[in-house]
Amino acid sequence: MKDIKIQVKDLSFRYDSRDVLKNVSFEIYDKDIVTIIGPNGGGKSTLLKLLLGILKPDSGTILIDGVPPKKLKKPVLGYVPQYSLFDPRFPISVFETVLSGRMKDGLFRYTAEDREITEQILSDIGLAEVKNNTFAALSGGQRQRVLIARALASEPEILLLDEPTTNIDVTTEDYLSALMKKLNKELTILLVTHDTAFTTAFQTRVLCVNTFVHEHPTEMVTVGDDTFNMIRHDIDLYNHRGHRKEDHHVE
Amino acid sequence: MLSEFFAAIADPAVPFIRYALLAGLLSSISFGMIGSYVVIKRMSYIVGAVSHVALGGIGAVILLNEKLGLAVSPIIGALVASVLAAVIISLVDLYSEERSDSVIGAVWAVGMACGIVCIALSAGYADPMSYLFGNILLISHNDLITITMLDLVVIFIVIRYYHVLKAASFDETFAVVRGINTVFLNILLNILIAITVVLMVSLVGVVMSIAFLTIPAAAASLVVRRLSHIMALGALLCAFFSTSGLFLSYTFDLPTGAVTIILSGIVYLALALCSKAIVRHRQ
Repeated sequence: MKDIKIQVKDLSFRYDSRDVLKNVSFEIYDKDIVTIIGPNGGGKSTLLKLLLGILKPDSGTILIDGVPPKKLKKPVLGYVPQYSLFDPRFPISVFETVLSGRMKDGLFRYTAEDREITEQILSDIGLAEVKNNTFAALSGGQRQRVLIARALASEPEILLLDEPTTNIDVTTEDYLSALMKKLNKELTILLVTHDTAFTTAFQTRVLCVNTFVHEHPTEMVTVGDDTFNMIRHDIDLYNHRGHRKEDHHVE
Repeated sequence: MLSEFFAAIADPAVPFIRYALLAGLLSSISFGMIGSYVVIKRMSYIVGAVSHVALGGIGAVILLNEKLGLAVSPIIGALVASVLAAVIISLVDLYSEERSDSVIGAVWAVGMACGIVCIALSAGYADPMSYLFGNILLISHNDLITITMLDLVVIFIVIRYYHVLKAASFDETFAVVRGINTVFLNILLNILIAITVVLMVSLVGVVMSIAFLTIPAAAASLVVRRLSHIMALGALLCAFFSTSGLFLSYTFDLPTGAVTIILSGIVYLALALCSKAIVRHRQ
């Protein structure tokens, strides 16, 4: 039996007297790779923020390694936001961005060890050549990789990725799915995504969030399955991706 | 012209030009540093509010000095009021459901109105115009000492918190997940802005200190791409603007603050046009 990494029990969250999440319970085990899908406004982002400890649940509990997110002695969550949310003019280099994964609270200086780890991760993720570029000078796919590298620099046990394949070309997407497979050997991974094709690539557990949370075994998430009306939008995307790949092939 | 200006700086009979020059040069470092954060975090609206509230503090000190027979420098009043405004704005931002720009606008106008009322109530000869648009005659020897001390405080804190401030400005959510106290950092930055504004209040006035906290750093960000470089170049530009502004105003007998800001505006515009042209050329 694998260890429970994240335990969510009877979790509810309301915003402006509307139920965003209601009586949500699930467990995520060590080295799981889990995809969180669901319609826009269904509560995916809220669930992510609750897991990160940015929002407080109205009722219910979230335990990470047995304690609430805010009470973790050492941060175990590696958060990878969407690259498109960043100010493209912010003056920060690739190296500095990844190094910031090592930041600690209070007055601190980066140590030689912090810099070594950063260098190592940059070369692992294939960003060593662009490490002195500004974040803004990179392509979308590269920016997303920088944000993954930053999360890895914090040496997390759980990686949380928010829509990692949004606005990303097919090559980077293939690279990311290979990277996720590799990282999953060491880490528990949670992916919030619209892209079910991306998830079927590695047989993940699938949590469908639409106020309530349902779990679907991966094999069942197939095109045209009536039971998945809730995620039809995602299935459309799946079809669309199929077309896109063909188009790509024809070119 | 230049030799006359240098003679005036050296002339013991007119210390105020020397004081103005020193005040400008000293504060430039803080302005370059804090201005960079104002520009990259798009916070000029907060600068507007804290600088105008400074007028409230100045007015209150002028009135209190007169009624109670004290001799407190208006700069102290400006400092207390600005820092208070910075704390109020930060707390509202954090804990209130109210739209923060409405609150900032209200703090801005009410602070300034208090200053005007206090100055009107005082029987002295204080002219609101001097504080709104700057007057180098207002800088005393003691003010110069205050400015130096505040300047050192700002420089020390910015250097000490450089990495964490930069990382948290880039991605606050990630910083929170890493266990960083971003509430404290946001309040700290707002207070630093308030202190910095006060440094130049006498030289360029409350209205124009907004421009002085944005123009040099914004101009620098057109030329260099690293935060530390933007800070350094911003500080150099700020020193250049305040010195040449002082020189031009002395030579042509014009108000120092206004001349300084027009000069910085022209340089900024020129740099912006040049950088556009360079980008186009590269493409």
